[in-house]
This record gives sequence, structure tokens and C-alpha cells, in this order.
Amino acid sequence: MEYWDLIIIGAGPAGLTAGIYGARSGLKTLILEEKIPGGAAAESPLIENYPCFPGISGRELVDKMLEHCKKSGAEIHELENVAGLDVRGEKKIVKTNKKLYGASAVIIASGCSHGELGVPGEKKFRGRGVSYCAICDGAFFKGKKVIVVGGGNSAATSALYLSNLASNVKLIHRRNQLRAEEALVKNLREKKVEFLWNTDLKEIKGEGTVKSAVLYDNKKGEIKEVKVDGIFIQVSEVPNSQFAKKAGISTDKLGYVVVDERQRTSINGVYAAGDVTTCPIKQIGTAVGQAIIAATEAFGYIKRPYYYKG
Amino acid sequence: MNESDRELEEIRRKKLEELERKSGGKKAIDKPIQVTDRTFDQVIKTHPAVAIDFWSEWCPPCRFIAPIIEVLAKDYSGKVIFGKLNVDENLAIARRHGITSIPTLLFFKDGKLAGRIIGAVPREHIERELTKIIG
Repeated sequence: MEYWDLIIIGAGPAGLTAGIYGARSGLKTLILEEKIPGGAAAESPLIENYPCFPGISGRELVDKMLEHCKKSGAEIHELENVAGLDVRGEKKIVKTNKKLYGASAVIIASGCSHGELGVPGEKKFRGRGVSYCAICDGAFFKGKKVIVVGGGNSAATSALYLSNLASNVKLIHRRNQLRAEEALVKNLREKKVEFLWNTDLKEIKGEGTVKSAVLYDNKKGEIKEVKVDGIFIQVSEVPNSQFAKKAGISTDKLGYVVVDERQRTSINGVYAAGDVTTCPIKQIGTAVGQAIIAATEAFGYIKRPYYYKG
Repeated sequence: MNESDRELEEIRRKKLEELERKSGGKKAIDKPIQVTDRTFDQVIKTHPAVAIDFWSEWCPPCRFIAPIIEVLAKDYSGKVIFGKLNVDENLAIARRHGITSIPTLLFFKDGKLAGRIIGAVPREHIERELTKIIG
């Protein structure tokens, strides 16, 4: 069995940051990434709220983090997913699709997956008008009509990105205000993005590709059908925590890994950081901050320096 | 062109043919080939089993699929031709197949569409579709 001091699961902003701190503190650090490094942040068309970068694409930002992480000496294995975790003992065992690893501490930074609405037509038209990534698929909707569903920063930045391509962008949200930053909302208004408040997407209809959306005004109780070519779904996300739950690590009822203020999970020597945790703020900055705490705590747990309060 | 030029030309042609027979002619393709809107129909008609990866530079999940396609092209060399079609430069074929999300993989058997995968999926998932177009 291959042995590492610290194994980090996930190579998004949280995992890469934990990698930087882990490796720099002298821990033999391995990051396991199911796909490719970057996480959800890589799909953001534009990030304007990460300090030092008033405007940077998600991909550019995560590429910088990745380079920094590699430079620090952490090893990253791409396309390697965690199949099982045994964290009951002092030595943690991580089983992947390729190997079996031992580690003294584990940091879970596996992020979230795209949330689905679960409405009729969503599965049927996925890739035929229904999309979860504006930067991937925006080009297919040049001069066309699109709807963005959601109310957070992801929905707002997606709508902004699409407003430069599509002929009409409607942002529909089930409440009467957005969670997104005011600066983004202001930009949305300038770009003439239409807001449809108190609106639920009920059904997606089409022939071959998406042709219309059935919308429900949850205040007036009215239903209407609008013609549309593309629907971008940017709603609440699903934490990638099944493997953690199976290993006996506490999660809340939505599946987020429960952490305390020192990023400790319910199991000794196992930490979590970023979007996968119960932290209600899902930002790159908070993921980075949590990861710094998690990696520093993991170092303390493994090496027990004089200043560590266990 | 005089007589010796013609002779030289003839020798060169024969040499080239011989070279092609020796190397390129028999050697199976083991790397994804670039496909465009113009060459697409030709590619799926010429080869009995083809998998086309519709991708773009700006799409993170496409970058996830790319190395898997590279490996599969090698492992299935002689059985399946893998093609890559950049949708930033080639929208017509993607439109024709109703593609609005990438990565999308289309599988063709004897020129006919036989399978479709949308989004980033693991290698095993792609291999399940490949069995449909082989043999």
C-alpha cells in the first residue's frame, strides 16, 4: 500500500489550496481528482470577487492555483476517483479505482455536482437545449432565446455571459429577489436581462431540441408557456459526499459534510473544506480559507507541534 | 516537361506508393483525427466504426474527456476511428445532430448514428457505447 501523510480528495480551489499548505508544511501530500483539476470554479465565465483579480475567468484562476499547488510539491492524480474510505483507525485507508492508499489524515474537498430541477423534459432534452454550463454551451445559442434558472452568483454570471451571445436572456427565480451580488444584478439590468420573479420552471417541451418552457408564477398562481431555444440550469447543487457518508462521517440532511470552526469532521484526522461542507457561503474565497484551516489542522494532528491544541 | 523529367516523376510516384504501402497503408490509426464540417461525412462513410468527440477549448468537462479519448484511440486502434470536432470552428454538423451541450460523443456504425453520450463520463461508460459499433 502506498503511504502518504495527507490525502486530499478533490482538486478544486479548496483541494488545491490544501495541497499548497500541506506540501509547504512538509507533509507528503497527494490530491486525488476524479476528473481534472479546477472543480466548479473552472466553469465560471467570469470571477470578479476574488481578491487581486477584479475580473478573471474561472479557468484562468484555477490554472494559476494548479500551477502554484504543483510548485509547492503536492502530487496530483487526475481521473482517479475514491471508491471507498476507511477512516475508523489511526491510519486512514483510501481506495480508488486504481490503487489502495494509506494516510495519516484526509481532507475532503470534493465539492458539489450540478443540481437538477427534476422537471419533466429536463433529462430528455439534456444536451439538446438543456445545459448546466454556460461557458461550455453558450456558443450554440448565438442569436437565440435562452432562460437561466437560479438566483445565486452562478446564475447571474451565466446570464451575463449569455447576454453577450443570445438575442434574449430571461433569468427566472422562484423568489422575488436574487442571492447574487448587487454588482452583478446591476450588470444584468444594463445588459437588458429580463427578470421573471416568483417563477418556477415546471416543464421543458420540444421536438428534437427545446422549443418552449412552461413557467408557473407562484404568487399569482398563473401558468404560461414561453418560446425558448435553451435552458441553463444553475440551481442549488448536490454535495459529492456519498463516499464520506458511507465511511461514517457525519453529513447534514442535504448531504453536506458537517464541520466545526476548525474544519474537523465527526471523525478524528478527517477534515473537510469548500463547497462540500455545511458552510453556507459557497465562494472561492471561503473555500480557500477553509482549506487553509483544514490543512493547518491536519498538519497539527499529524505532527503534534508544541503549539498544537488537539 | 522533357523525357527525363517525366521519368523522374514516374519514379517518385512509384516510390511514394511503395512507401504508403509499407507504412501508412497498413498501419491502423491510433490517435484521434481532426474532423471538420467539410470532412465529417467522408470520415463516417469511409470507416465502419467511428466515434466523434464534439468539443471546445473553453469547456472544462471537454478537457476531462480528451485524455480518455486519446487512450481509447490507442486501445481500439484498428477497430474504431476516433475523431475530434471543434465546435467553435465547426457548428454545422453539431447543429445537424441537435447538439447543444459539449462534450457530446456521437457513435457511428456504417455511417449511421448508433449512440450518443452527453457530458463528461468515465471510460467504462464510453466503452459500453463502443461495443455497439464494433463488429
